[in-house]
Amino acid sequence: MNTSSPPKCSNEQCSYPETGCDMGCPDPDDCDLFHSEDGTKVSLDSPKHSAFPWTGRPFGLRDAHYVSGRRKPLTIGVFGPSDAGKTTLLAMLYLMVLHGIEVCKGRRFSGSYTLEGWEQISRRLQFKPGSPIQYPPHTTSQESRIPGLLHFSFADRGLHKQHALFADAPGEWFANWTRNANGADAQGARWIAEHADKCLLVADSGALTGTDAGPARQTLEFLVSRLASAVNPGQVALIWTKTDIERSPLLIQSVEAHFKSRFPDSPIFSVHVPLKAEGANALGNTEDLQKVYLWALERPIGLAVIPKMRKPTAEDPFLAFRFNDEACI
Amino acid sequence: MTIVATPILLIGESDVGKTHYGAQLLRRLNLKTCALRMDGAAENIEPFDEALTKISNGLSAGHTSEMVYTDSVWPVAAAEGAIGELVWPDYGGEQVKKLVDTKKLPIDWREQTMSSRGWVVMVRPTRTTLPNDALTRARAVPTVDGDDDNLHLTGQGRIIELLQILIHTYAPGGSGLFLPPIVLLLTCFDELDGEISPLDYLQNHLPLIDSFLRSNWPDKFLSIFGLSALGQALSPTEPDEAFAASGPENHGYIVEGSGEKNTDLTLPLLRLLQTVGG
Repeated sequence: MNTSSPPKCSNEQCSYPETGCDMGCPDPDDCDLFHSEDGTKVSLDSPKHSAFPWTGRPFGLRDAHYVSGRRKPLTIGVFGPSDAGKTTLLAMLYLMVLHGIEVCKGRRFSGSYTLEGWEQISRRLQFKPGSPIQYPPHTTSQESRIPGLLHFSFADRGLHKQHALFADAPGEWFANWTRNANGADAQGARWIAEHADKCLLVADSGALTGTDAGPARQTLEFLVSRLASAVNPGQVALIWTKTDIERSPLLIQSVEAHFKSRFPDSPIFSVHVPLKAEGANALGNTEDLQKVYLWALERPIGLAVIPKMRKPTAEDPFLAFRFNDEACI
Repeated sequence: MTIVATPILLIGESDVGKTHYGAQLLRRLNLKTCALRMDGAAENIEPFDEALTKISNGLSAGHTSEMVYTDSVWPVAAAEGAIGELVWPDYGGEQVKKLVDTKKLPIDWREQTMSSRGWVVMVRPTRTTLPNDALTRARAVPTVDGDDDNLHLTGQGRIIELLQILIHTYAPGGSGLFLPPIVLLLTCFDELDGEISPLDYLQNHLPLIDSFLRSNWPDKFLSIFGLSALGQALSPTEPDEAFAASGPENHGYIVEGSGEKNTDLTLPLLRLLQTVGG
């Protein structure tokens, strides 16, 4: 199952299984397009059921329109090499929301159209009787143009919603992008860099202290440079992951110095999965993870340009009586 | 005063106690001892016939078949005069599970949703617990690759997905300001240990549902109660003589959000009708 390539939908717009079915079918077996080799059209007979514009799986570009119609959702990309803890970082977000921990300042969880996607990535961090917690597996690299997007919405006390999309992409995409920004296989990473309002760049304490520490540091340095050439400095934060692994002060200093040389005003966070102390009753300490998301979910202050209104003159026949103060009275 | 039909959309999975509550409500309304009482006669009490008999004998009612969706029309009045006509449904809870799993809303459900004027959500806390995860326990092991295709949402996720489906059906793209008022009933409240108020329970044990309700409904359109329709557990086969002798009308209670107990099982509906009315 793992070795064969996944079945491809005959609908070119559809990226199932990386994203939900383009036709809104939670189970692709029910989808006419998914089965037809020759692109047979979907039957439009009177339906016995209402279908919905989301499937619960990660959004693709087309179903993301459901939440992006009114305003561009806050888009957050997690950048970093394979196995650096990108998916775990997102899974921890879901667990925090599930436990009612505040991740978006002044706003509460108000919905998610990708609940199954969130459950899928966080499932391994959930305990099944008889088996210990595991970390999520490697996000598979499939030939897709855009990453799967996970959705949350948060609302303030006035019930105003803010939608947020989180891009969960495989590390290979960023490796390809670092090597060649314009390469065909870097399309997905380019999409994220172009659309992300906030970029979480992951520095993997495990890899940076492991047997291949040298190459790992070099990869990270090049990724920092690539990111610096593609996005605004205010959008980026460096996140040290797996910080329960001991790091030498020299390593911390040199990685952070290089990051700061490109992003002088950007924040640096340190996180790890907060396993709680044996026997303790309280939840594990999520303060550090919380800081990451409180920053990431802050809407960037955009530059709004308000066009200057030209006062119509009485010479304009169409507006002759409309805007002329004297004429109006 | 005009009598307004108030169809209630009752939302609850299997085994949350929909039929028990329906039967107990019907009986309480008929006895006219509560804040809300029957004004005339119920049009059709058939859906609750069996449950009424079972409970009177000190037995728990059977499971409602998956295929069933019926409703019963109850003209009800409060102390201050006629309020309306409650349309109270009963159905097999599997329908709800199925519509969450398939994301397909049967057309009759769609019609019920669109014509509803008040929503009652029933959640049984002991069946909707938070999973144990990396935040609640202490040990982790490295990743093992493998497929994990059997995706089923956890308890809170299912309720939220269900509400999202109904919200989308009722007010596509609209906000909570356009939704009917909602009552959340934490059912089988007698199963919970210790004295905890429904509001505290919701906040501490079902935070996702708590946030979702508060960020989709304005405060005045949202009420939260604990409910124990029978006040105790009954067996389906061994009759509880004492329960039968004292009569089901003397059993069961609701708990206000803040924790006050009240034997008037009609209070959540009175609250809902008052909010609908205005």
